[in-house]
Amino acid sequence: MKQRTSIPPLHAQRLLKRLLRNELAEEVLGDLEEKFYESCETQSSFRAKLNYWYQVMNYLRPFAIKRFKTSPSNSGDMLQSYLKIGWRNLFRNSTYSIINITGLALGMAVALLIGLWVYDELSFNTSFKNYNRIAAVYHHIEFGEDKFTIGDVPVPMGQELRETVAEFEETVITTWPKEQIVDFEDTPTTITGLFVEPAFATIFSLEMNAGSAAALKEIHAVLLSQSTAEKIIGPDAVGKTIRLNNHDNVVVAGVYKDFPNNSEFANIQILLPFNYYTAMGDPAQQVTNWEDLNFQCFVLLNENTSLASADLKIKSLLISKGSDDLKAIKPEGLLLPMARWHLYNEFKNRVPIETKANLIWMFGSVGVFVLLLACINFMNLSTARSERRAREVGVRKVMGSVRSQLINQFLSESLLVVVAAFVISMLLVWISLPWFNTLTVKQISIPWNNFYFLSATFLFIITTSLLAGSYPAFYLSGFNPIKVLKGTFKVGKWVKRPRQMLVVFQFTVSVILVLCTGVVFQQIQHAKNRPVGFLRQGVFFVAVRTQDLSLANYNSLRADVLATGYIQNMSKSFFPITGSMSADASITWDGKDPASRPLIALNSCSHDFPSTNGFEFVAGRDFSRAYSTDSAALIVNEMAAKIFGDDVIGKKIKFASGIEREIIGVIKDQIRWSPFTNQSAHMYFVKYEEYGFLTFRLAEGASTQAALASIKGIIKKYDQAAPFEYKFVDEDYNRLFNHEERIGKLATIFASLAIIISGIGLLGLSAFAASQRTKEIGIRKVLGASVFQVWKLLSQDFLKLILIALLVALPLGYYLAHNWLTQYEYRTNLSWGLFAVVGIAAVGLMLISISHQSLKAASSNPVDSLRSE
Amino acid sequence: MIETRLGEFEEVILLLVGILGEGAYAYRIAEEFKSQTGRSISIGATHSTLDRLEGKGFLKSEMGSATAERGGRRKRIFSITALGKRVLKESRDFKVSLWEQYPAFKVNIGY
Repeated sequence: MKQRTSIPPLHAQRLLKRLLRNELAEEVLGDLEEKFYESCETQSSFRAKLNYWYQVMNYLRPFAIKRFKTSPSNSGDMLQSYLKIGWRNLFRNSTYSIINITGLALGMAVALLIGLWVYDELSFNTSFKNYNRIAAVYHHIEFGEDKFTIGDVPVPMGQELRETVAEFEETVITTWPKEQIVDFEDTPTTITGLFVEPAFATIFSLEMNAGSAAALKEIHAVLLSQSTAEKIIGPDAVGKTIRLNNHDNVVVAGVYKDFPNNSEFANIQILLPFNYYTAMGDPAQQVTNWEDLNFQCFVLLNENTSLASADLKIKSLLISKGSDDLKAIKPEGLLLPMARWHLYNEFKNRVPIETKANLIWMFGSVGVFVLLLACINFMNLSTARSERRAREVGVRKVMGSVRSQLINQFLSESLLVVVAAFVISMLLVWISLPWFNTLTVKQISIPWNNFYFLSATFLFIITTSLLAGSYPAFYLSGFNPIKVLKGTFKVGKWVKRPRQMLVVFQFTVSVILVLCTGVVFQQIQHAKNRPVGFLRQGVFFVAVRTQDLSLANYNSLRADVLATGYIQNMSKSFFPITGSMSADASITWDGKDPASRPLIALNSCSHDFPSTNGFEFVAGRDFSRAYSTDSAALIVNEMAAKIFGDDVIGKKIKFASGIEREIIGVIKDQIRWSPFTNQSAHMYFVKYEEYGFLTFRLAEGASTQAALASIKGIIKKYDQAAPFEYKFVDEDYNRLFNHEERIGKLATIFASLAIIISGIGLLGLSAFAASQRTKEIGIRKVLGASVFQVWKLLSQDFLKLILIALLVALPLGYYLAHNWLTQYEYRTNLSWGLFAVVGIAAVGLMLISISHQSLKAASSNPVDSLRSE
Repeated sequence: MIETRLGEFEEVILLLVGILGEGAYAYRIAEEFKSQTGRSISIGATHSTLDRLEGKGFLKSEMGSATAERGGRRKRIFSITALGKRVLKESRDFKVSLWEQYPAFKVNIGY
């Protein structure tokens, strides 16, 4: 045997031993060594060593190397175990579980509803394809001191913009929504429509289901929305002829897909050609008249054009084209982008009013807070119970649990609760959505297929369970098992303090919500108590929309109506008593300061209008047929009288048309605009020849149904095609409160849920506190403590927290309510009475929820509690 | 599913196992491969193929004797199974039948 000069490289050998499967080690090492020594005989030892390395590397193949994941995985089993333990824990502590899950489910449901509502508001109009490029032309105008911002333009504006502003791809002039009577096979229906130029279809990307939008270039062709076409005509509406306003026959040239509910044109059921509108009047006069500000103008900006540059070009367009009258109101053009149409379309002194947007953020934050309250319950109860579970953690650790398993266990338990709560909350939302839609006048549905919605809910579930489960998961799992099991372990103050702070926070939020709700109702009541100045009970009006009826002999119509005996009085007017009015700033009178141009609202009416509506006179007299001069008479309200100066009766007022009218009476101020704002000066004069409204006042004791039926018959006698649609003044007046009452109702619901959630949270905490002190209470009772003393002992901790919360909530609530009220011109004063009531009620409610548990603990037999171990 | 087809390299290795008989262990087979084909091959690659063939059931193996050159370690001796022999034969027959169908070689082949 030869002398061995070298040996195989040790590092390579070691590497191989480490990586190679044990059962292969012997044969492989043997083979390689044999190869090595054989190589040594023919080659240098360096080359042999190199070759050895090469051979080792070549053994690093899947078949030969070790499987490194040695221990078999049991994570699936562990997960099952976590869920099983979590499930059992839910039932073992059923009180806590019910509190946790109901609280969280309520909070989530509220947050979801509000979230859907906010999403709906913010996505208003986004369904339009050109959302980012559409704008409406607005103008700031001035009437003396008053500054308004209006979306009205004259017709020639459209042509002018098309010719002069290169930034606009398309421009369209439309009317405001107008009611149209559509008659198909002798069944008249009233629907809302717009007269539009052909470009409307392009700008708002009109989707045609049948026919063509090109019909808007015609005169006697109209487009119907899908739902309207189906309702009025049925399938295959295209090509059918309908009668419009009992005046013209028009052809249905197309059917378009209904505009989405949360869009500007949601209620537009018919689109009519603008050509038809001009053909009805004097076309030459309409198309060139720069003074007639009665139309809307929408533009489509070119791609990549800034609004600002186009804004400059329309700024002084109207003022440069108008007459002196128009120049006097100093119109200044601006473009309102579509994104601002819904929430920022109202201005005051040229600045956008943010009331609507604020409301959204207000309710949005209420939603977040309510959810937060529910999460706080969840966290508080889990930290409170954690002391009890510390022992469980100790035992688990002794049995061999590693920390990551404990963390997983606690997190999966909280996930279980959150998911259960989420399922219940979805159910709640699903059930309450129809009702919520009625309340908010919306048509919201749960967007199951919306990616953002799904990811938001997923994210929310994960965050909540992490938040609520993190304390026991990360803090408890780190305990030293020996300390915990020996009983020397005590959860310190730094766990209790945050819990107390969270309780204070919870109550502060709830009390503020209740307080603000109270203020909303106080404000509504305050406005409802405001003197109205006209009669609301038993008065109704009918719109005159057809030519035949408006031309009918008023006196014989009135005689027929009064002859029925159901009606005490009847009148005709241009605007109804609860409707808007036109306004004029060009009137003059003797002794008027030429510089001032006060804007005064006007309504023309028949002689009987003030008496039918029960106007209250402060001075002078009502219109009377006995004086022939009353056809040129004027009745003004107190605010107008103040403008005209002292002793207004008999004063002559000159109108721009040259007509002079004499003031014969002064009436009390009336609520003609929102009851929450300042009212304006207005006046009534006699005029018969116009479309308008017929107002009827029921005779005392007359049956409403019979009266309506007989009036319907009489109107049919004068005009077969006129639809009979009536409105009662009291109902129409209450409409003015709709918005505020809606806020009030929503606020009530959210505030009560907030209080309920906080209440059940406190219930859980007090139950826990009582159960922890069972022994102490037993000993105290043995030593002679009374039930009251024990109750006091248990309640005072919580009472302290509630008092702190009140101290924070009352001033903060005052501040917020005060801020909210400043948006109203006519507003209630904040009374300390309301604050006192809310404060006492809050304390009382909380004491009830605490006392249930404390009394139970206090009245229990000490023998039972002391014998328990 | 166990792969039962025989690759070209596998066929050669299988034949070499048969040729070497009692001396068929990874290192020897690799050396034999080199001397028969002139191509060098690592022991690891040979071993991997042997392992695969054993998995397919064409080979069986047992630990043999130890020698001093191996540091007193035993070697794994491979031998062909009945299935291995049948697969080899089938492979040859298939190729012969292909050769016989190839007109250009038909005359010269002397099987």
